[in-house]
Amino acid sequence: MADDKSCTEETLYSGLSPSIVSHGSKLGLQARSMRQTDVVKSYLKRHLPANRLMANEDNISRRQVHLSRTVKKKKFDLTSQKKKKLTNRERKGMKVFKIPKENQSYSQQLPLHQAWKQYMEEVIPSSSVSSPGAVQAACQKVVKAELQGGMLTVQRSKCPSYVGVCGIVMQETRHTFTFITSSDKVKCVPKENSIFALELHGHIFTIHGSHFKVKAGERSSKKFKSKPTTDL
Amino acid sequence: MAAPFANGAPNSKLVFEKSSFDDPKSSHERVLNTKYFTHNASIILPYSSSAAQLQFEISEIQDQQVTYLIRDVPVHQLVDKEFIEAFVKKGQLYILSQRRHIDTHNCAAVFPTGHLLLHITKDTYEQLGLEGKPSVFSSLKPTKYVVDIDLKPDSFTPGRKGYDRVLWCLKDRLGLTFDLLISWNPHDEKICASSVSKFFKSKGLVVSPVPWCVQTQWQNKVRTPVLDSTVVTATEDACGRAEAWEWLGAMACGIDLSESCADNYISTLSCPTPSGSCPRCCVLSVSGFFTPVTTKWLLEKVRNEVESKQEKNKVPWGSVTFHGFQDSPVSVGSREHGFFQEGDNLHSFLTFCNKDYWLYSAYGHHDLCQ
Repeated sequence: MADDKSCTEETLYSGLSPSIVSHGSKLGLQARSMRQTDVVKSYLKRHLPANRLMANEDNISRRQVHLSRTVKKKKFDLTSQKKKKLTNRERKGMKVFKIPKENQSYSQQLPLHQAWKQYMEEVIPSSSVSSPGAVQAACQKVVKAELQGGMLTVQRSKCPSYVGVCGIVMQETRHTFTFITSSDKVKCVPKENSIFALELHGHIFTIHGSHFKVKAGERSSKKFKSKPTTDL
Repeated sequence: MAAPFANGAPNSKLVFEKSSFDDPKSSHERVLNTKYFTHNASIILPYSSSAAQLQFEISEIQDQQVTYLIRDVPVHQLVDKEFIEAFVKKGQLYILSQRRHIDTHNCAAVFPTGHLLLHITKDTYEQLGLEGKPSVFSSLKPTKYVVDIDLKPDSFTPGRKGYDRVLWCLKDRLGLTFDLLISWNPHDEKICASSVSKFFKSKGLVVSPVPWCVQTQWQNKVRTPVLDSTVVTATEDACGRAEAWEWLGAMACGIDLSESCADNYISTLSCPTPSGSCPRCCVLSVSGFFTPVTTKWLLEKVRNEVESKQEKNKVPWGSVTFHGFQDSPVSVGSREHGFFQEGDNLHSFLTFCNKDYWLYSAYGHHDLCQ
């Protein structure tokens, strides 16, 4: 039914057998005239939901068009979001944390150690650690102080090879300390299962590495609880 | 639920060997040479004549070796280069720490092989800084560690990294000190064995000679088991090895084995059958610090006694038992030793006239056995 004409009797009944066409009147069959548009309409009426059956679809007066704000739908792209930040592993892979060879010298780190000493003098003035009670308070401060630049010694360790390592702390991560020793060797010592000693104002502070596994930045705000055992 | 007891019943071992001194594959030399530290030797000789006398003077034992007790020796003295050159590399040096309990204290020993063995507790090991191995007998959480330092190689010398580390760890870190029993066998006859004491005296340490003590007991009219070197399990004609072992132990402890005491309150032991009468039995016990030099000499003397042809001093068999130190870090050779419940490590030779011998090696629960 390509063209918009009323169906003729011939075309409409062409599919029927010729005997029915010729004897149709005798049987009482009546011809029905039908327009193509009617067929479409009745078909749509039967199958489409009621709200789609509005008349005057082409009339723009019924259409709402917002002219004031044109909101563009943002496309949420997961991949572009991810790319913004590097993961720690990626940073490690890009050797961000690696200390370059030319910076691995003890004498270069000495000014850092001097600066750290000044900083510790500010945090814990040497005059304030005279009485045992004051030392106890100083311990709380040492725990929260920055250790990068401090001189630490591995006093005790489950692995005997780490025992006796002494140097300036170049880097502190959650699980390790990186030292530079006086013989210009960079040594990374895990905090777990080791005990470190820190000399300050004539007192030796002992740091239990197993209980000290906090990121350097988060350590200042962390509340340290007393642990039942100090065994390695 | 059936669960096994951890460290339940003590797992003591008794190894029996039967061989002949003439056998080229005989292990008696090897056993005695590697049993570095002997604390006590007990000799039992059942003579068949009432007028019998010992053929050797036990006091000659002091000519075999001299032992010194040095108090509070800093352990770094033992890795002193001068000391190593003079005594460890030449001759045979035997050192054992005294008055230390092997399971709970730090112990030290030096063998003629040139190894310094430190048997140290977990706390000491964590602070000392020398690599070692956990003790073989430790459970999941080791409490004892063994640090083995070879003193003999040429690379173990000042200026080398390994030596400097060892010296620093022993000298500057903890300052370990031990009371040491020292015996040195010179490589040259011209050198006196006492030079080792002179060395320590020059370092300002208190050196005293270690005495040895002898207990000789002559028992008259004792019933002794009849033994045959070829009969190992008990028959009608001779006692077996187990009965003989029990009898030897009872004699050494001084238990009355006469039949009248068979229903005694303390002990119901009696002499195993078949038994013979012995008019005069010698039970001799020497204690001190004995090295293989002395133990070999003692075995030689007992053999001479048994193999002698004199009618007056006829002995059907003789026995000598060498008790190792209960708190020694090794039992035989470099095999580790622990105390746990008894700490026994002893070797008992039962010698016969025909140069056959039975060797009993008894080890405690914390002992390795071949």
